[in-house]
Amino acid sequence: MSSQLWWYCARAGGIVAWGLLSASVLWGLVMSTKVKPPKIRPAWMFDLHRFLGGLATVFTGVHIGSILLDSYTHFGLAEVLVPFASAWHPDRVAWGIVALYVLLTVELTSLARRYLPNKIWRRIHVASLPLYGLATIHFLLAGTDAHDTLPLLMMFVVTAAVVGLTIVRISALRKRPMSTPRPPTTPIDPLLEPVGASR
Amino acid sequence: MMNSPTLRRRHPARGARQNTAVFSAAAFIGLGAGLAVQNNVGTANSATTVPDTATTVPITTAPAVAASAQESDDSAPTTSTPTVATPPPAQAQPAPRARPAPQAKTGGS
Repeated sequence: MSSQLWWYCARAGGIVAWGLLSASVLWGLVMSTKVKPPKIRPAWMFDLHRFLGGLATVFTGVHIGSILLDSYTHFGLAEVLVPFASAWHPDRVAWGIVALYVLLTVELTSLARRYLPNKIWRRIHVASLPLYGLATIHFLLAGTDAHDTLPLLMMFVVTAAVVGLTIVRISALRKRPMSTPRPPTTPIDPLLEPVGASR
Repeated sequence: MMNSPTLRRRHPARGARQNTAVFSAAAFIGLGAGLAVQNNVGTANSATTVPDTATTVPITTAPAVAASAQESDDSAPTTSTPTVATPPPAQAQPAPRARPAPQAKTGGS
């Protein structure tokens, strides 16, 4: 049991990271499609969206670190960072490695958002949708527990929700006239609020 | 207003952040423990079936294969294991190979 502790940490960390990533993507789509309960403040939603993404990154680190520490599977640093470098199912692992790089790109550009042009940040942030697909394929192909009923059901439901909200988002973009300038958003960063502001 | 020194970063969803973090940690620990228990139960169940299949490894069939390999020279199995192919020391004497001599057709008889 204790000899396989890191193996269980790797499996549990991967599942939790996928769940948090899914929640963050869904939350972001709900925000952007304006499909949200009316009483929820945008700043609250934005803050939780950012936190979900950050937590998904943390648990992805737990997933990778546990795989490195585990002696049950023999993965070195190069095998978890370089696609197709692993001896065990290199194609299945490669999906996760590419997803890791996309996740890091999305997270780092979000942290540095105020220093980036909004257009560039937005284009990079759209990569969250392929990121969800990459992570799900990695979970489905390489996950030890992916073929149980509950994970399969979760993947089906979340993927259906992501696809549905993406269709809503794209159709809303097409309805919006391209020539109409967007009104400037009041706060650049909704997390910046005056001290002592009433809630 | 944005450059006012009285501004500082706050987290509007601080309570939700805490709940999410606690829930994620609990899910991580619960999943890890659940997977470990599930794996141990599976190992315990499969351990009872291993001896039944392990005792059926056909050691007794090896001499028969070796004998047939000696008798029929052309149909000797090439995929046999080393334990089967190696004859025991008592039978290490070179057996006369029963290869039939080619019938030479002579013109006389």
